[in-house]
Amino acid sequence: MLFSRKAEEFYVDPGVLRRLKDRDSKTQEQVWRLERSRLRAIALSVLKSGEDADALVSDLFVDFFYRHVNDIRSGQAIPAYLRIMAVRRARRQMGRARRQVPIEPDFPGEDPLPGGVDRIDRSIWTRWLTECLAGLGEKARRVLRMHYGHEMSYAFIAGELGGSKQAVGKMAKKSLQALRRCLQKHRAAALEE
Amino acid sequence: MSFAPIEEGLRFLLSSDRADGETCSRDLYRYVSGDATSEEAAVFEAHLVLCRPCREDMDAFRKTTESIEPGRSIPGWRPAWMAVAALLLCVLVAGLWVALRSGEGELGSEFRIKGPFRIHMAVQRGERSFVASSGDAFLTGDVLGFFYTAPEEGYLAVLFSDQRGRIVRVFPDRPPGRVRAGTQWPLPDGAVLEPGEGCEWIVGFFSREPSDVEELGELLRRAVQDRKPDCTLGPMEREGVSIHALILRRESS
Repeated sequence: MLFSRKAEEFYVDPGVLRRLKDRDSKTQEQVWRLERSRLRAIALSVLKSGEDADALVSDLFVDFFYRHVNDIRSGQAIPAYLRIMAVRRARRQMGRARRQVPIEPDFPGEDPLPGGVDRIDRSIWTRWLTECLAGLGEKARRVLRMHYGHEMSYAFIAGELGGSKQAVGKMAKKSLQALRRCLQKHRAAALEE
Repeated sequence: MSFAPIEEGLRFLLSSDRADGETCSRDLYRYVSGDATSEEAAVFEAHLVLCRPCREDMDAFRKTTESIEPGRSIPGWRPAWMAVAALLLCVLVAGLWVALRSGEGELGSEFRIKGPFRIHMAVQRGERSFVASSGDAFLTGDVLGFFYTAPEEGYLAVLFSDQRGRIVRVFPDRPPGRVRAGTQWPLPDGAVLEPGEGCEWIVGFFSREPSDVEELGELLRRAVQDRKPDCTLGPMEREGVSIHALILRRESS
């Protein structure tokens, strides 16, 4: 069909939710097309940064397509579901950014952190990592999100995003190296201060 | 000297739970989107009394969506239309001013305007919104909104056809589609362009009496079959029906 049905009609079709749950990439793309602009506008109205809004929307779609969609019972709920997700996430992100020192629950790990005398406070390290992640490309972030956030294998991610398992693994490895370099820069700057 | 394992940090940072915040997120999403059962809704309403973040998020949701889609309830489909709406408001005000100045317009129980029936199209392409003309080039993913100018109260049907003659009814959702007289009135329905090629058409049919939309579709299908190489449709005539067609030329995105 060259011309889409109206969005409401699109979501009324029970096949849409079923296909989304089956991770049909064409249906995912249709939903992305229908909702992206509005989700971005919502995120932008809260975050006031186009870059942050784009990153939030990209992450939101990954989480929605691979996790939240399984919680949904009716396809007609999808637009509002995505929008309240965007609002809540943008507000959380804004809240975190406003705090001088992020008061995040610490990620689980060794205590104290490796780092010797110049031990870096865990919450600051988390903030640096967030900033470094934002500096990666969209595809790299998506790969990391799918692998670390959703525990998907490289083979599975390759099937979803296209490309080979090796290419995805290579991208993840390169991204980790970039993150490591970025964190080292942050630490060097902090030590200088 | 090494940092804490990045992988561990990523697992923490990139988990969906962290992005969503409180553990009640799923309940909130279901409640707001209307996906909760009546029992779940009742339980969540009790939770709302105690959960300030949920109340604040719901409030923000309402305000944000209202500011982005003024006057439209959620769920809806149309993305930020403010630029198009502002533009069309200017056109409407200018149209009224001209009509009143020339004495040819009359505001009252029956509002008539001078000029023929016309269908118009607004396009949102990425961040840009504009009013399109017949024959303009369109891209896959363009979001279309439709507007009409009608000389008097009547009935409107808006149909889409691709060059194979596949017809989609854009308006009305449920016939007969009664509309008011006026300049640049928006229609509630729109669409998103999916991949296509060549020429496609948006055709508005306006009449004083209700028309059979199926018959209009057949009329359009024949006109598409008889189209000229420059994409102009073949002849379309029906007694008592004003017809206005817009050509959409497809460009690869």
